[in-house]
Amino acid sequence: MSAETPTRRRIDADFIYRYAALIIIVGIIAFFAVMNPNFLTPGNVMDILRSIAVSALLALAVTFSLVVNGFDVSIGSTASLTSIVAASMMITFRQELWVAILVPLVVGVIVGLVNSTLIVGLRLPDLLATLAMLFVVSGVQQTLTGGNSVYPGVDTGIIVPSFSFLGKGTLWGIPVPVIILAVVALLAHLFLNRTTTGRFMYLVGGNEEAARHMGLPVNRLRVLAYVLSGLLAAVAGIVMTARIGAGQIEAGAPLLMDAVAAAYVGYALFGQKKPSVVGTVLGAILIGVLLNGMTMLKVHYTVQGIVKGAVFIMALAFTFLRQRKH
Amino acid sequence: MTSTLTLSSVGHDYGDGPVLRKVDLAVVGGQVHALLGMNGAGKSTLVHIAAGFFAPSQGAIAIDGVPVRLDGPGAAFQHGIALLAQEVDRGLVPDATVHENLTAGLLRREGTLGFSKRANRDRARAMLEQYAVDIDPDRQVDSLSLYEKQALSLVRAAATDARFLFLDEPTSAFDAAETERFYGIVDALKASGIGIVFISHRLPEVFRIADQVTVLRGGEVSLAAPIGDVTRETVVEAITGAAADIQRSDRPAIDRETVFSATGIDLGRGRAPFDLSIGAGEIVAAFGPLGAGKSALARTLFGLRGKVAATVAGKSVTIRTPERAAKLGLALVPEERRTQGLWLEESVQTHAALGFRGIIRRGRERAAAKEMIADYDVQPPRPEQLVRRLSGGNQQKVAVGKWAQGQGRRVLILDEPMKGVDVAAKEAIFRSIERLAASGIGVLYLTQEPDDALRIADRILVLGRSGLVLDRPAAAVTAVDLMFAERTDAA
Repeated sequence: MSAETPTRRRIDADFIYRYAALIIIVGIIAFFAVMNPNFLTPGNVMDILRSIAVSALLALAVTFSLVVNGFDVSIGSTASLTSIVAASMMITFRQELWVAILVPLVVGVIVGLVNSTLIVGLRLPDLLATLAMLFVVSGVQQTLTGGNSVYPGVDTGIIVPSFSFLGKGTLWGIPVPVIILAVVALLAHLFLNRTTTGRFMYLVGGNEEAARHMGLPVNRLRVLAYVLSGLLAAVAGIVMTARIGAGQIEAGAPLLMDAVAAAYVGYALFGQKKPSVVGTVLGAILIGVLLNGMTMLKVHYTVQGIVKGAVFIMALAFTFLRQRKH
Repeated sequence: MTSTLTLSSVGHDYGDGPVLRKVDLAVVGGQVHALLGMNGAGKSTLVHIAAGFFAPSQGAIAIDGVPVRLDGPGAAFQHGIALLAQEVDRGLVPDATVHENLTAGLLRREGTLGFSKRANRDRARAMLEQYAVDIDPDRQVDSLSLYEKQALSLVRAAATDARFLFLDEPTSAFDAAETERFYGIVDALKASGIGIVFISHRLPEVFRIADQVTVLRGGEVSLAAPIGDVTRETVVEAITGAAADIQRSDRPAIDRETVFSATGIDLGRGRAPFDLSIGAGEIVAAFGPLGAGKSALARTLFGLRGKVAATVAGKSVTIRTPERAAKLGLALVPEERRTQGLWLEESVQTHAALGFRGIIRRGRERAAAKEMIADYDVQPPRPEQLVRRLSGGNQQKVAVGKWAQGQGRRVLILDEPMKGVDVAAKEAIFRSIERLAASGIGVLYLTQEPDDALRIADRILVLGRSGLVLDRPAAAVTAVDLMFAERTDAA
């Protein structure tokens, strides 16, 4: 009897530490649902998901870099650049749909290759290399357009409807960006958890030294992580252009911090300190829920940042507290 | 004036039988006292007791006839007693300069707040000169060689008024020139009235610098005399006693097909390059003290130290990277298991599936984990157990077992696999190594424990300062040969 009590209590404490972030997300959703009956209507849920689709794709990009214990902060700029590239393919160069999709993807891959060359080849710390690339990519984007956004005009090409569909359309009542996010997330999840390549990326991130001593291709795995990060940032850029209907200058930059926050909430989610696709998507949903819910409750936008930051601190604190105990 | 540290009738017991019985040791200021004995004879326990790391179960410690209580190394240090461990790095701050490391303790005691870098540097230089140590005080400690760190630690101990220094195999990692300079430092320390006890396995060194000799065997003093009263033969006899030979379970010597060979292996530090070949199913132990280049050998063969020319299963290859080595069928169990050999935050199951390629099927992964747990007797036998929560011995089983799933393993290299492994796990690991060998894998087992080498090997190599110094079938080697194999090498 007496031997049972302490064990039970420890498991309870462990349970709270492990699921604190998840409990907070569910709690916040419940809170908004109680406060506003319109919050959980299908229409509003779709609104929330559509609003987070682009930043969630960027958060998945960050997640890949976190998996190999790196950090890609260039993704916001990459999304901006690929968005501009997609728009100019159609508007300035009057290209077909597939060109307007393929070229930005290639650009994303190139940014990833440059990032990883700086990190693997020149051995720059991940954060510094990608920070430098943040500026470079942003500069390239501005130079390409002379600092202007790319809008369809009278004597230019147009954004073809099939392209706009990627951002504005719906399938079976579900917004296409949400479908794109779901497919990308599913593929990323399967890749990271059910293939040895994905598993090895985690192992490089978990203990690079051990990975090297196991003969794993450490450098190639890190390159792959950054290439996938660039590729996902490009997908985000394409969806962004399709939603806006133009290539807006620096459109991706403000999304960087939300993406990083979502990935870190995901990192903490199951108390494992391990980045994961499921965690990142839930982190992105948390951000969307907060923004949508607070707006519905007419919380002034100036206060929203304070609430958002406080929620992140709560969600992360439990995981890191728990880690310190051991 | 000279002072004397006396340990009288010291006994100690870790809980499973006495490791020291009625040991007397007197350390006289201005003298060098050599402490000798086989592995497990109790040398290390004795010096740790003298330096206050643990209290003896029986016996007394006195300085100049006055009994002292040493409640921890700090208290011992207050009495002027210091122990320099083999891992000298532990006591030094790697990111600070030599002069900062040297004077930190002094400044603290003096309560100095202000601090002139120039004055400090000059002070450090004077201290180094006093003991004939030639190191630039402005260098970062992490750029120093093992020898320079050892010398720095010695000078620092002397400068903080240490009267009795205990050194655990100080010269084992030095090359010949460094050893010579080290003797110079010891002479200078002697001259300033410090009493020195050093553990050594090198007889020529003992006769060169010691004034007194104490030999331990099985936890008891088997010889204690001034150096002038003993000969090499009496010392060896005192160390080994009558029954010194441990033999491995007999395995017939058979002609084996060579599965791996490498030529011109260069371990650096002036050692002569040598060749190495391992037969299919053969267990080759490479024995050598700390710093003999065992890890360098393992890293070289596995492509972690540049390139090496090798023949694997009859094919000539150049191994440049660990990826290549692993592809060729080499496997490495590195010395630093927690940092290099395992993922502490991953499960046993993940380690068992390291050999998988492509899609991971949960069922297959679990089956592989169960197989490894059974083969290597991993406790507790749970596939989802995090490796962090396993004991050292069980972690090592996983570190070896993680290679088992990979197809076409030909050579297994184990670098000090028994570090921090308890006796029961040790035997289980030995048996699994023998099983792997029986399946045709060639094994290279690197160790500084003569007993382990004799227990497992078909053939024994000895690594020393000049490179490979001995290569013989295990049946023709005894523990004594291993302990003094460097004798031929020291001159």
